[in-house]
Formats: sequence, C-alpha cells, structure tokens
Amino acid sequence: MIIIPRPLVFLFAFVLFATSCRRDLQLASWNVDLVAPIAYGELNFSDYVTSDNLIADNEELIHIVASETLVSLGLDTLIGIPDYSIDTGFVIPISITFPPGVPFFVQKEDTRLEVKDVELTYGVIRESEIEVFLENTIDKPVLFQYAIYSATLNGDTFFVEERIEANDTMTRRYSLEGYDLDLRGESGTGYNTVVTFIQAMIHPSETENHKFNAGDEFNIKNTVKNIIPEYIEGYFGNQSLKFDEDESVKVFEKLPFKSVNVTEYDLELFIDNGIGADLKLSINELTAFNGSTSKEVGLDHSIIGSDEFFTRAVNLYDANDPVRHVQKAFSFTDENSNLDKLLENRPDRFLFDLSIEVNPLGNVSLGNDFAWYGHNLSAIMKLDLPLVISVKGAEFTDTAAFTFESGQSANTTKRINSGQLNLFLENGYPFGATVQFYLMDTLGTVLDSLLLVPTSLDGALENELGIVEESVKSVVEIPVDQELFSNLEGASFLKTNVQLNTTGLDSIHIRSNSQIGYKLTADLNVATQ
Amino acid sequence: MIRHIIVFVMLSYAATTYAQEPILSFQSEYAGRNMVGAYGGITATSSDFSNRFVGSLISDDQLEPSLILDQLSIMDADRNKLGMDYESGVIGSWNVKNGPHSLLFRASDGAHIHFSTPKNAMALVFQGNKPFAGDTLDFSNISGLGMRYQQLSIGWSYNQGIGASIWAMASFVNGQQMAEIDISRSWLYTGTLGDTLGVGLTGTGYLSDTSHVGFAKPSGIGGALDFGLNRQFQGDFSDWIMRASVQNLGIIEWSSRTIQADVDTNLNWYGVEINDLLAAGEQFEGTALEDSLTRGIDNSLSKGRHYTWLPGAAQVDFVQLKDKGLELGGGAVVRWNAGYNPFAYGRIGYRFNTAIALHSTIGYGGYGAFQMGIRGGYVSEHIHAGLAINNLEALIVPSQFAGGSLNFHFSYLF
Repeated sequence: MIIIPRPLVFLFAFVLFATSCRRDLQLASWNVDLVAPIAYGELNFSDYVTSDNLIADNEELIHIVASETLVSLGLDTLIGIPDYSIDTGFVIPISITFPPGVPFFVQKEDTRLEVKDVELTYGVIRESEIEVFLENTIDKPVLFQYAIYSATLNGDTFFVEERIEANDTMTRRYSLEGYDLDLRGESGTGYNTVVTFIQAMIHPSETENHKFNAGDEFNIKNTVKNIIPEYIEGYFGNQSLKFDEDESVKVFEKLPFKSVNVTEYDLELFIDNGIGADLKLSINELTAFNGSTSKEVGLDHSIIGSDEFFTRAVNLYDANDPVRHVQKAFSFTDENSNLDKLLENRPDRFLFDLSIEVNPLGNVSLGNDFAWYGHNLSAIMKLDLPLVISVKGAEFTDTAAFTFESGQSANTTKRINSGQLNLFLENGYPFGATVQFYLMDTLGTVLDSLLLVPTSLDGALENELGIVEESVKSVVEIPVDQELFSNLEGASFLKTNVQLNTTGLDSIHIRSNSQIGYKLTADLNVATQ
Repeated sequence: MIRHIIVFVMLSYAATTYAQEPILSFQSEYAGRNMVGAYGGITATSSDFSNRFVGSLISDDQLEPSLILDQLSIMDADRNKLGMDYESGVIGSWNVKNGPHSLLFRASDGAHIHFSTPKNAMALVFQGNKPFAGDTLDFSNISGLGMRYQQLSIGWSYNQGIGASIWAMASFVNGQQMAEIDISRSWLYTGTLGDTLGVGLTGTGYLSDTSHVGFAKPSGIGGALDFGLNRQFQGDFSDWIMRASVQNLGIIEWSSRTIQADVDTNLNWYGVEINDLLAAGEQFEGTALEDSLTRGIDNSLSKGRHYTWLPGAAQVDFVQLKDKGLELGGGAVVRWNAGYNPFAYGRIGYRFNTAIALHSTIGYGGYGAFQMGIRGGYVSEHIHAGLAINNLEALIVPSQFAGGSLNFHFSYLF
C-alpha cells in the first residue's frame, strides 16, 4: 500500500489555512517546493527470519539453527493395537427353570487381539476404556458379572457386576488406565490374547424361580477403545516400514534472497532409537525442494542407498527413566556430501524416501522386544548454518499486492507537479545491491518502474576479521510525477527486485549488530490547488 | 453663514472618506435643519503587499513565481501589514425646536480586518519549506483580527456658535463574528536532507460562535461611544475649522461559546519509524505529524467569554474655509486594536464655487506608507453628496502598493 506523505498534507493545510480567510474567495493556485520526512528506521536481517531459528554467537555472527524431525516411529506405528469388541449372545435352547442366584450362563474365553504381525506378551495400558453393553429380554432382573482376567491393577483383576432390570438394556464405560495386561492367554504361553469371563444369573434379590422359555435371548458386547499403551513387550516381528513423505521447513521461507552461496555449515542426521528392537534404516532419497522455483536438489552422501543397523535400546525398567536410547549421528560436510547445494536451494520442503526394518535378524530377543510410550525411533536433521555466505549475483525478488489510496488523497496527489522520493541508506552489511521496483497489473504485466534505471547501493567493507567498521551511505531517487500516480492507480502489485553482491571478500559475515538505516523523504513541487 | 455651514458639512464628510482615516465617524452638524442620509465605504490598504500580487492572488487561476518573488522583495522582514475597513449605514439628525440642540441617529454595519505577518511566513506559504532546508525558519509575530458588527446609535449635538459645536453618540453594538490570532513564536526547522521537520508554536486564538453565523446574528454584545468637537478659527488668509473626535471607543463581549486556543508546543518529526517493512502499513497509522499537531491544538482548545476592544480611532483635522480657490488642510489619526500605525495627512484642493470642490490627499502611515486619494463634493440647498477614491498609489504603482478605497455619502436636508 502506498501512503501519501502526511507531512505534505500538513504543509498543504498550513498553506491553505494561511490563504483562506474567506471561504468564498477563490484564490489562485501557486506552486511550492516542499521537503518532508516520510519514514525512517533500521532494518535488521534477523527481522526477516523466524526468530526461533536464529541465534547469535559471541561474535554476533548469526547462525540459522533448525531441528526438523524427519521420522518418528513409535508404539502406534510399531504395534498399532486397534479397538476391539467381544460380542457374546446366547439363546436359551429349551424351557428350563433357574432359581435366583444360580448362573444360567457362564463363559470364559481367550480373545485374540487383531494386531500387526507381532507377538505381544505383556503390556501396560496408559489410556483406554472399555464399553459394556448388556441386554436383558426376560421379565426378571438379571445380574451380569464381567471380568478381564488378563487385566490387573495392583493385583486386582478387572471385574464389573451390573444389575439389569427386566426387559432392559444398559451401557457402561470403565477406564482401563494403568492396568497391566498379560497377553499370554489362559495357557500362559500364548501371545496377543486376553482372557475374559462372563456370568449371568437371575438377580439374587428375587424370591421366585424363573422359567426360561426356549428362545429367550441375552446379548453382551464389550468394546475396548482407544488403546494407548504405556509399555509393551513381546516380539515385534520382522516388519518393514516405508516412509515416502515430505516435511515442510520454515527456516528459509523469509530469507530475503532467492539464492545464496553457503560456505560454512554444520548439519547432522541424528538417529535416536528408543525402541527395544533391532532396526535397519535405509535412506533411499533425501531431496531439498524449493516450491517457488520448483527446483529440487537431491542429497549426495554415503548414507543414501545404504543400510544402517541400530541395536536395540536398553530397558532400564524405571518408570522415570525407562530406556537408554541408542543414538547415532551422520555428519554432512562439503567433503562428504553436496549439502551446500541443498541449502542454497532455499528449500521449503524436504522430500525423503526411507524404510525401516524391525528385527532384521529375527526374534533374537526371544520375545523380549519392548517399547515405552514416548520413546521412539526418531530421525532428526539438525542444522547449524553460520551466515558466512556469498551472495554475489544472488537475486531477491518479492511481489506484494497493494492498493493505491487515490480516493482520500486524490486532491493531494493531483497537486504534485514533479519531484522525487529520496531514500537515504546507511548500509552496515557487507553486501551491496542493485535495486529496481516494478508496478504490475493483475495479470503481472509491468506497467512502470519506479526508478529510471536499476540503482546500485554500496555495501560496507569487512576488515580482515570479517567485521564491518563503517557503514556506507547511498541514495535512491524515485522520480514522482502524475504519470507515476496514474500507474499506481492501475497497478495491483509492486515487484521488488534486488541483486545482491557481497563486497570485497568472497564470503561475508552477517552479524546481529549490523543493520541498514534508512530515511525516506519527499522532495516535491506541489500546486496549492 | 449658511455657506460656511455648507462648506463645513462638506469637509466633514470629506474627512470621513479620506484614505486610511476612519470611515465610521458621524461628524456632521446641521444647525437648524433635519437630515436623513446614507453612507458607505470600503478601504483596504497595505504598502507591504502589492496590488499586482493581491490582484493576481484573488482573480487569476495561477500565481506566477515572478510575482511571488516580487512580492517578497518588497516585504519587511518583521512586520507586513494589511488592513481593511468597511462600513455602511443610514444616518439622521433632528433639530430640536430650531435651537442649538440636535438629536443624532445612526444604524450601521461594519467590518474590520487587519493582520501583520513577517516576511518568512509569506515565504513559507508561497515558496514552501525547501528553500529553507538546513535552516530554522522563524516566522514569529503573526497577528490578526477580523470582526463584523452592527451598531445602533443615538446622540446629541450642541451648536455653540459659528463653527463651534460638540457632539456625542452612544451605540449598542451587536457582535456578529470575530476571529483573532496572535502567534508570538513560530518556527519551522527543515533538515538538510528533508529528513527532519521541527515545529514550534506559541500563540492564542479566538473564534466566535461558529454555530450561530449570519448577518446580524449576535455572538456578542457591547457598547461604544463617539464624541468630538469642532472649532472655527481665523488664519492669515482665511478661516479654518479644527475638528477633533474619538470614534468607536467601545468593547464587545463575545459569548461563552467563543472558541479559545492557547497553544505552546514544540514538535519534531522524522517520519514514521518503520523497522519491519512487512508491517509498514500498520506503523503508518496515527503517527503523522499533523496528527500530533491536531492533538496538541485540540488539547489547547476551550470555550469561554472573550472581550475585544473595537478598532477605534482618535482624529484631529484642520480644514481651510474658502468660497472659491485653493484649499488646504491636514490632520492625523491614531487607532487602537487595529494594528495601525499613526497616520498623518495633508490635503490640497480647489473649490470651484460654494457647491463643488475637488480635493486630493497625501498621507503617510496607517497600514502602509505613502498614500494618496481624491474626492469630489457637491452641496446644494437640500442635497449633500460626496465620492472619494483613495489609495491611488496602489493603482499607479501596483507592484509596490496594495489597496483601494471607495467611499460615498448622500444626505437630504429639510
């Protein structure tokens, strides 16, 4: 949005006030030469980068730091225990009489969990609930008793007892939080199995026997929902997990240049295994993708295409510190990779294709694989990019929508005969620039340029220590006339084009205490009406 | 005797219409007769402005830069005055029982404007601030007063003998409109690069009720006195008449809805501070210089009664009395609350007969410097009339002077 210099409005007001004692007297117009400040400020490079990603070291050198988690493989991915239901329905086959308090239905059974190709023997439930649905179709109240023998809390088995009134139904929910789960079944040698018990009787409070008719029906449905284990143990199988995803990165999106020559960096791929199972990691592809240019650069490093084996984490059986992780870091340098090319691409996304094989050597733990909640297998990319860069020839282009407020300020702008806006710069950064501004219509057609020719701005010089000792002054003159305002009214976008050039040395240092001071002033010849 | 009276009447009117002399006076005596009449006039004067400049300013579409430069070249560094007076009215005189006493009546509408400004203020207005970049432009001591009022007057005159009379009038004054400004300190600093503006302002201002405007609508009330005396004495070659008067000695109390401003502020403006270009639009809001000035002025505004002295005058005038031939005269005027320097004038003219005379005036002071005018008078048994055109210097040398005056009177005696 273009703002009409308000100090000019003030000066107009002064001129008109002083010459308009009589409102009905139409005075002649005359031209005055006005100069006035419009804006000033100090621009700092760090303002344009997500602040969390910037730190300054002791020498005020700015570092871009980032930590992006590429993969996080946890219990849900490894085990993935789904919701499950146990439906128990029975029909009285013959007419028979039962006294109150004598079970007319008893069932104890093993229920197999529908999990992946794993053999789980033990677990602790972090969060889950069980929903019990009971239906009584006879004309006497019935006492239902339901137990999960596999689930114990402080030694007590999960057990519920409910009275269902005659010809009634009931739904109840119970929490399973904190229950230990023995998944070995009734035999004690199985896996993925829970043992449940159901019993029904005419409620003992009744005084008369009840005669069941053939065809009387009872229904029980138990649903275990939202199972989040705190801990799981068993054999996790020989699984292969493939990850073909992209991860957005926000580090570079505000960097004010399209390309940069990175000369120093420190990046590592950090693998952190908190799972009690052997793993094999294969990184097939890692690509830096720039969405604005659609350019992608693939990582060239020894890790690409090779298999990396990770031994299992160590179970410490301590709820406060339950796991000793196994960690491994891969360092990327300009000698062992082309990572600089990836960073210079200003990626906004990392595309990666990797696969993980669990227990590549089979059940070598003899069913003692384990996983704790929150202790995952993670692949984290850690970046430390000190801004020692070369931006020679780098280009910064930004297109911003704007609306020229001609309505309110039309009288003011129409009175401007000629002049210019002066941008006085005091550059404390060791790079210069060549700038031009373009007005564009909605179709992107360039209507006009604000500067007669692209204007060069000098950059400051670094000393041998890479420190700028003195800022450099430059002036950008933007001609102003009625043609400009006409083009402003017709324009919808302002395109800024900046060609950056480091001065002196090939690589310069971007420091947090550097800045570009500017003052924008108007120098206009204006008609009073 | 009658002829002397007629000549006296004519000259009295002449005095009321000469350049830069007060045009609001009632000086006539009509011994033994009744009279009704009307008069009117407007005079505007300045030797610090030029007619060429003012004329172009109010009549052309475009003011040429050369005219501005010419105008500035003739201006005084500290004080440049311009004054304007207007009055029109009807008058009457009723002789009591054919004796020495007469009752006087008057109803009039008047206006007065004067202002004084330093050259720098004009330069800023007409050239802008760029010529003063890198410097502090001091344009202190701007003052001005404008008011419109109506008067209803009643008075008395006593004819003590030939050429000797005293008179006095009391007036009710309706204050219609008033604006007054007095800026004792004002400066503007413009940075060399145009990157800084500094403004300092100390002053007061008054503006009468703006919700109650229109002809004769009262925004204030007041009273005024006019009085004077006339004495005839004998010179070496002819008789002379000396006339002394005080006019518009009065005050108006403007209503409690009068807006008052008392400003004493200093501001510096460097532009809007924008350290985040991505939020530039938001940072522009409410931070402009005129916003700060407006806030400063708004905070200084109040309403209350205000008293203003009428722009009155004291005048002494000498007139030679002849039946025919060359006539001489002169006088001096001082005014208060009118931004007016003392004005002295001399006159010379020719009387063709007892009915017709033509006089010219040369004066110095008032709102200008050198000034001149011309008038003609006619007197008959029942008709007295006069027409004066003044500030001829502004017509002859429009590049150096500004102003113009036209006054008339017409009376019927019975």
